[in-house]
Amino acid sequence: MIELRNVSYSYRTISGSTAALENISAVLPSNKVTAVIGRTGSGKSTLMELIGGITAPDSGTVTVNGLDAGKCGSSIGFVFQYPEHQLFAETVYDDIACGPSNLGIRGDELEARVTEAAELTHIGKRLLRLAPFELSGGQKRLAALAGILAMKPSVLLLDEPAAGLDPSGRRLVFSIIRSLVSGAEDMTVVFVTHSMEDAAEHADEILVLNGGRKAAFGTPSRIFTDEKLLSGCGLGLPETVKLQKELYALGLDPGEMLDVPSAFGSVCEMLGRCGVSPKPKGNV
Amino acid sequence: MIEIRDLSRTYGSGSNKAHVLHGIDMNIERGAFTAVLGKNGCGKSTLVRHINAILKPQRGSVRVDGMDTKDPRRLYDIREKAGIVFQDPDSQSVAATVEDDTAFAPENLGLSEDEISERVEAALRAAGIAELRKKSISELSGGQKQLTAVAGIIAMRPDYMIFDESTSMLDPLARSRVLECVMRLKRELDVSVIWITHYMDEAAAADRVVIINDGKIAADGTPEEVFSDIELIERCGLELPPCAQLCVMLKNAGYDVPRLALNAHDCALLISGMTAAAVKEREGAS
Repeated sequence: MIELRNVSYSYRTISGSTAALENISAVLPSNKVTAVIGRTGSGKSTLMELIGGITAPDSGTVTVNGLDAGKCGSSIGFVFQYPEHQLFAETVYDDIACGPSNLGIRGDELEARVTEAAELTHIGKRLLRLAPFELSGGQKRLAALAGILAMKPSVLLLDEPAAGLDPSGRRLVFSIIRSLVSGAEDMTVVFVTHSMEDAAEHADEILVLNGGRKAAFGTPSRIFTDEKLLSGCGLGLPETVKLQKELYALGLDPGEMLDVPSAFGSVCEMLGRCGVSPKPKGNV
Repeated sequence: MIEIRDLSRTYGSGSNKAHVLHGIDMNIERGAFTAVLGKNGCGKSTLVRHINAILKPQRGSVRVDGMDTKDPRRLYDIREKAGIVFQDPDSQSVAATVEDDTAFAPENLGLSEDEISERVEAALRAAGIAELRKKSISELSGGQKQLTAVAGIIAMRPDYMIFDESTSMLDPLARSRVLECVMRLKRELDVSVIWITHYMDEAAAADRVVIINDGKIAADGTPEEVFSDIELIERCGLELPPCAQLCVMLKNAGYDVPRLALNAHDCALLISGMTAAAVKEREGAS
């Protein structure tokens, strides 16, 4: 569990200081996936750095599982916006092994951790032998994630985990995230995204930032049905919610449709109410 | 026109040798918006890096308005004609402030000071970062850096603009603003846009969609043509835009879906048409 209490932070530059976050309070629950959304420059990455204990707040507190975030060490895993910035070893294998090795893990246990993390992220044996710079952007993202997972953190922070990934890579990353919070162990996952579709489909809770302030915190169905909130924060709607609005404008009311599977259910029900029925299979 | 003929490239050697591009043949005309899709590692970035001669063909040829990218004497002219924005803006920031960074390319074109400041002003406004002009690049967020890189190429106004996932860190409004601006340049200045993306909704708005799979062209056509081949889309590790996915699910469930809708507006019209057809059928029956 992550607790943010009245957190504020400003960047100090030659020209003065710029407020990045102002008075943020929220509790991000364990065994849930929280998405942080907001416009470019709204403070999302800064918030992640504070939760990760990389930066300390100017005022307020950030606690992770009851401890000050700055004192949590390797129990917090952080996958940065640009994965290539955190790959440095000679081979992908060595890179994944680097984190657990720094924790003093050696021998069979180290190998088991690397193998497990590589399997989880679909990094095959051929890729493990390559140098990290030989990987494509998406493969680097997965290698960086594998390196963090090999350290077995209890909090996983991901800054734009799906940016630059193809659809199958994106599905893989989010299925890994889901499996982590569904496991028996205590796990908190927070990810930053610009994709409203990803936030709607893969998050349990959503924190909306606007100009460094908390604009809202709630479930996807609460956030994405509040168009005034989203447009006030300069954010768009997921494509299926746009479809819901377009249908409404045409006099049809399909009900909630946050993602494609829920849109399918809602549209089928609505079509049924309108007397449109599917034809028996084989006539399609 | 960009003419790519039998372009092939391999990386590595021995057991690690991998064919990244394999006999690519394609033309890119002036004034077209071409979306390039493909899974990670399929060769998209390698392909477009050949267009402005960052990479030279190991086999085959690339010509930009008739100039061979292998001819070292034409390198400057080719790069003036074809500009690229990478995914990671840190790899192409050159100046200390947003304004200076945006002015870097037009300055190198030898334009007059008035022309440079007019172009920089317009580019900063188009990218929506006019208020950041005096900011140091190091003070910017990831998305703001991407917008600065985009402003740089807008100010340069090359005939061929290549965007290699250059809006991947942007919020939806900033992304659509960049897309609108690029579309406008395409219309007004007959600029050709080559847009690599993983966002299928962006590809759905293009004039032409090219899918690269395992270093080869797997599909090349209008968005409607390309997205209609669902088997191919899945084989290439891609997915349909959300509304098209919905159409396919409805069709698979047995509904009479007349066509594939690629965006929310079209999809709503299609579903509304299905309900109207059912009403008509009932009225006809009674």
